[in-house]
Amino acid sequence: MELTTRVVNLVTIVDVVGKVDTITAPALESAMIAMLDQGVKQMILNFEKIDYVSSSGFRVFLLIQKKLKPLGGQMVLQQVNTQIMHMFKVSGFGPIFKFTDSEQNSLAAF
Amino acid sequence: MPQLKLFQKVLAVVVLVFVAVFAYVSIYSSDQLYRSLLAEYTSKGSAIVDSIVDASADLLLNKDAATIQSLLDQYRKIDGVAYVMVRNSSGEIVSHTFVPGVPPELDQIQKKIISKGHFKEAILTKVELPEWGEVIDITAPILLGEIGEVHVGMETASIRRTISEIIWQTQLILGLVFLIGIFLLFFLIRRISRPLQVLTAYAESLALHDFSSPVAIQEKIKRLTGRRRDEISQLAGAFIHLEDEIHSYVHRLKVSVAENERIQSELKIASEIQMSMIPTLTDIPAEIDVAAVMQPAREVGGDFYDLFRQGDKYLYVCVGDVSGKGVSAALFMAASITMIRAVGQSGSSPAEVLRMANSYLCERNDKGLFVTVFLGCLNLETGEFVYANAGHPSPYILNQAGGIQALDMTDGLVVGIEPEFVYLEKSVWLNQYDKLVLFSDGVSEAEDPDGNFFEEAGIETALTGLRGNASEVQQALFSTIEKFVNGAAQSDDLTLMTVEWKKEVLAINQELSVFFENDIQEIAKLHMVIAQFSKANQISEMVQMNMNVALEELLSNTIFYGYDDHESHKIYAYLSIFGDIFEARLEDDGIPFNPLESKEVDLDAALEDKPIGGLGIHFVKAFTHFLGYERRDNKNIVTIQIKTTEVED
Repeated sequence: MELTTRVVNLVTIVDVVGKVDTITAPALESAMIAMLDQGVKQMILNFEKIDYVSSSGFRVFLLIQKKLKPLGGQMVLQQVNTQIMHMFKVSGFGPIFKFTDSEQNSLAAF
Repeated sequence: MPQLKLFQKVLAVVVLVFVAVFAYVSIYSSDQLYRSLLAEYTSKGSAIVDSIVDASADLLLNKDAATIQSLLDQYRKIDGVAYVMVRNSSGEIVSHTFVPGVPPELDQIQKKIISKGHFKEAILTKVELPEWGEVIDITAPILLGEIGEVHVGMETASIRRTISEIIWQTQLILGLVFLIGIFLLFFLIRRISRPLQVLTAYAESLALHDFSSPVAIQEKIKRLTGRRRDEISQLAGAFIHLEDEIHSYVHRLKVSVAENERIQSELKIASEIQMSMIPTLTDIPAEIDVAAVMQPAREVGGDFYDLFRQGDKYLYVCVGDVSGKGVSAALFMAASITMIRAVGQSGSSPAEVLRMANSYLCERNDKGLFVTVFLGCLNLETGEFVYANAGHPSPYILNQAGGIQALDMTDGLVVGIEPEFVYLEKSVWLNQYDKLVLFSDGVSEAEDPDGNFFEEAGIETALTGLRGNASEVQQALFSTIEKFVNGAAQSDDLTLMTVEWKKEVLAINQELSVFFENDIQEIAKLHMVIAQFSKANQISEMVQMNMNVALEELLSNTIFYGYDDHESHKIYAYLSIFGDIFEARLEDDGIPFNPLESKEVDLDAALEDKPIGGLGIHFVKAFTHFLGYERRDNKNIVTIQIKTTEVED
């Protein structure tokens, strides 16, 4: 997994490439926690290049979402592929997150 | 003519006795008569001689020849006297009654007498004379022979004549008596044999009679019993009693036979109805081939097999065996087969069908009948065979190469006993040309003439190495059973059904086994392995991902929490595809952990309350169709199955 961040219109965009699995999830988790610690409240998690998410990944998304809420922040999951979208649906976590299909729509969400 | 034969026999005996008596009387009597008559004649002759001697002495002395002659002539007239002759002392004939002269034969007597010298007593001599035949000459001396002698010839011919007259008369009387006797005998025998003849005719008509009505001749026989009190009447009485008994017996027999025929005909109809309940195997789907036989030990039986479709995709296969035999078993069989078919067509799984059928059949089953049932459901698209069992013998799978394998059984209770019983089911995937061989215990318990059972071992031996289609395999097994039974009476209903799976299903039974170290970096290996396996088996990305998520969760769980030591451990994974199922089995030697017992995530809880832990098991459950766990040989064995037909939505 590779992770890069950039800021567009005060929104932090996290581009992840590869698998978010048991091995890589801790790295994602610590990176995102660090962002929150730096005061980031609005973030876009770009799934365009994520081809796999394990339950550890879901755990991270859930954790971040949980931490953002009391801060009045928001996270948008962008360009989630069909398979992973299916996982969100089947696992029952779909309704918790906001999904968009493009960066433009993501930015418009804030 | 029997009476004549009897008469002939008696007649022969009587004739024999008569001939004996006749001969005895003739021979003995004539002899006796001859003797007594001869003595009589002789004494008569002697008396005549004495009388002549007395009279002739003076005459001779006086030489009065004429007087002597007239005296002799007088004596000559006496019956039986042949001649009288007087000689003087010189032996010259003084007078005689011969005409014309004295036969020379008498000279011989004279010479004999002379040779004896003087004699005082009369001398008797037999002499043959031409005129009289045998004559007894009685010669007596006159005055001791001083004057001469007197000859009197007594003819024996008259004796014989008398004798023959007497004998003839006797014989005549005997003959008459005999004839009268024969005549009487004939009537007597006829009198005896006539009732015998009637009785014979009666006996013959009895033999030919159908006993629907009294024998016509019986009236005559009844007369025989009343008329007299003898053996014949007793015999006649016995005959009438016999006929009455036969009538009564025939009547009872007719009633019994009619009843029996009625039952037989009802049983035949029952048998036809029962046979019409089992399928005719005419509408067999192309994916399979079926051979089946049900052979009741009696007219009707408690065994059955069935085959029915449930929609286009599923075919139910069923074999059952009701406890007991005969009518009671057949009635329960009818209820069972109907119930299972009715419930089965509702679309329930085999275990559920058995559960419902059992629950219904337990009601109103006061006799405590029960039925063993094997019920399987064959997926005609994939060859998956899901089955449940209620106390029935385990079927075999015979593969194309002739290898056999008994189906792994579920321990189900027989149907009809416990209404609340819940049945389990298992599944097996059939390869192309696999044959399911189902049977009732009439096969394993088929008995040979010595009472030995065929046993499961017999079935296994018979099946091993068999090749061919369903009919050929079944026929071969059936022939082996028949050879074993060797003509012994069939002890139990016998059912055989062979179902062959003919369809070729691609990518079934693809298997892969792999192991992982208890190192979290092995997750990468897991993803790689699944990717390769999925590609080889044309598994969709989504199914592949679901499997990845589930397996990663289970594997990481074991790696993180499964070991309380710091040793290296191996975790084995077995991947397989059969039909539309992608199955993975993980085996680890870690501490016992049953994922099924972990807490469910409450999806309805507010986000703040959602637990972050325990998410993984939720995912496993969410993405799999089956999750099983067992602890065996100190190992955690977790099995998950995902349907490959799953589509993205």
